[in-house]
Amino acid sequence: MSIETTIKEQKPPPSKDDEMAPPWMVWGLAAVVVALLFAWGPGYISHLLVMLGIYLLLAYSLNFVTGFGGLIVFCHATFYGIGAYAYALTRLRAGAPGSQVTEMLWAGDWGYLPAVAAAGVAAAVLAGLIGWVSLRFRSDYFIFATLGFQMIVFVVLYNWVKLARGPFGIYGIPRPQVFGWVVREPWQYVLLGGLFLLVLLPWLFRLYRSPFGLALQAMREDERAARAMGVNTNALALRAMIVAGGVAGVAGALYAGYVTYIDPTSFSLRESIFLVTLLMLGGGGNVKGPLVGAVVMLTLPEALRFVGLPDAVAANVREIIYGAMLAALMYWRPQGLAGTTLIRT
Amino acid sequence: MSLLLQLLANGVVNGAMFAVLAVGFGLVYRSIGVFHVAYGGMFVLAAYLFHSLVTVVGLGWWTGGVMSVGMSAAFGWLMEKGFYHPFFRRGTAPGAVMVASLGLGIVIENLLALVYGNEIRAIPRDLAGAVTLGTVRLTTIQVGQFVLCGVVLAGLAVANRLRFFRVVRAMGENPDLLEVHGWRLSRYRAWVFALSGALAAVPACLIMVDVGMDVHAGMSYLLLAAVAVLAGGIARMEGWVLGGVTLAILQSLVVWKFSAKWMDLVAFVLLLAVMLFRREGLLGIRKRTEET
Repeated sequence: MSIETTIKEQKPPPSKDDEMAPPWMVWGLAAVVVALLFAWGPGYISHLLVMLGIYLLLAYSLNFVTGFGGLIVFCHATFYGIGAYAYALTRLRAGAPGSQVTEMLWAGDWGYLPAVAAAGVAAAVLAGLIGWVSLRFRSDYFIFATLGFQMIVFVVLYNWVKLARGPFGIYGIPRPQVFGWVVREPWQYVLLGGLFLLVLLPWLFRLYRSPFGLALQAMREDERAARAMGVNTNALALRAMIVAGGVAGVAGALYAGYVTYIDPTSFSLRESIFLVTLLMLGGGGNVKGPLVGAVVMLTLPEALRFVGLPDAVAANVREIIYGAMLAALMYWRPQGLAGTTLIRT
Repeated sequence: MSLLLQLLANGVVNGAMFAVLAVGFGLVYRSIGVFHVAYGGMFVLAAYLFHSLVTVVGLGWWTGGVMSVGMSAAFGWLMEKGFYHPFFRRGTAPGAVMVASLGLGIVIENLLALVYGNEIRAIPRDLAGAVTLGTVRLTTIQVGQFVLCGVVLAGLAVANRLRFFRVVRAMGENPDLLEVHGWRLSRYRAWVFALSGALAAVPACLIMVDVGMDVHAGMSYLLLAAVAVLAGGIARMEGWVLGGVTLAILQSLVVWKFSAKWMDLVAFVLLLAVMLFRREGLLGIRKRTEET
């Protein structure tokens, strides 16, 4: 390859506009939300918004490792799940008579905020452990190591009945309660979810632009060169995984507090694949991509429902559309709908 | 003791099937470098083709099986021509091809679910007879599984010396050199995918006859094959076979010592342990860093 082509192929560094969601996207989203609100009432749209908030946290945290660091992680759902379980176990009251708690090893009866913090910390610790082992590998091997941990954690959650009731799931998880405000109605959850996003997303976006995020990008583009520049890529990727795991854990706490019943099947390999799909579809490496991915992946099933497909068929048709979109995108637009990252490995 | 022997025998029978499955996956992964996620979909497709040929068309097991293997091979060939080759021409990164393959696998799985529904399908048959060897009892179907897969593996071991397999191995090292030697790269790629499809169909039909499967089984069998290949060592076919057999026997032992529900745990702990302590796999060939 001659020098000229090398120079031509280099893209200019992303400008500031690239890293912000453009205004039309925000307004478009708001318009869709308002239209849905009028069409199907506040309860339904609130549910959709809460789920969107949870998936935005998951997508933006995964984006940090996969979009910026270039490491495809197939165990993001375990961090999400461990967060949900940590929240459930710390929140439940021990010794409540006649309840499931008597069958479990431990229940904490903690307040809401400590429980959320515990969820984040538990998931971050798990992410640290998984990262410590898996980051010895790269590319295919890294993917398989994370996939292996996904299977291992799932099997443990599913079969260690004493810890978390395994396949029976945990029911009656206490609802969020912040300074006496009990969150019960769907719209209140929207508010709570919005608060979480307001705290966590700006922090993540700052990390994206910080020297930490830039070094991660350098590692994604050329790990050897990044090492030569003095970046300790393994430590960097480990830190990124811990951050991503912690945020996913908080998302799990939000989920557990919202649905009040969890079982391991919500955090299986399928969920991890769904999250990677979501990010690949929207595209990683910037701020727009995960938003686009989450909106498309979460509204598509709703759109199909209103087309009038019977329920039994709709699930399969939805999956077929996801799969076909994924394959088509990898061919025509490997960076995703709105992403900047190209998968290189 | 007799229980252990029995479980070991079951493990060996399953091991033969896993080995064939792993060889089908390993061939594509080793020589083309594609992480063939849609292989799981192809496996289930072959099993359901067989099911339809036997129950709907009314063919015998042998003709149905042979036709299913042939159709699966044709399907593998089409998959390369219509799906993987365009990616190859574009020079798409392996990670992106893997994601695309995942998408294709999802499409196949759900198309099958639309046609056949989500329940487990099995071939209706009479109770299988039993063969007793000392204290070990195997059903005639299990014996058939072992013999058929053994024949396929023996055939592969002999064929491994043929020029085709030598060229295919060379393709894994350096695909560009194939064209220099005057061998058509696209033709070899298509044949590898066809062979892989045929190999997937053999255990697929055998498992369909024995216990049946549902349309969502593809992912777990794909993971089995991939773990067998990675743990056994990517470099050599013997490694894939060893990986498959080890995995099956280990699963039997887990059933014996603990319970069937911890099987996945053991498979992936094995994989991680091998990856950590013997990166190149059990029978792998250690390479210098510059070579990889």
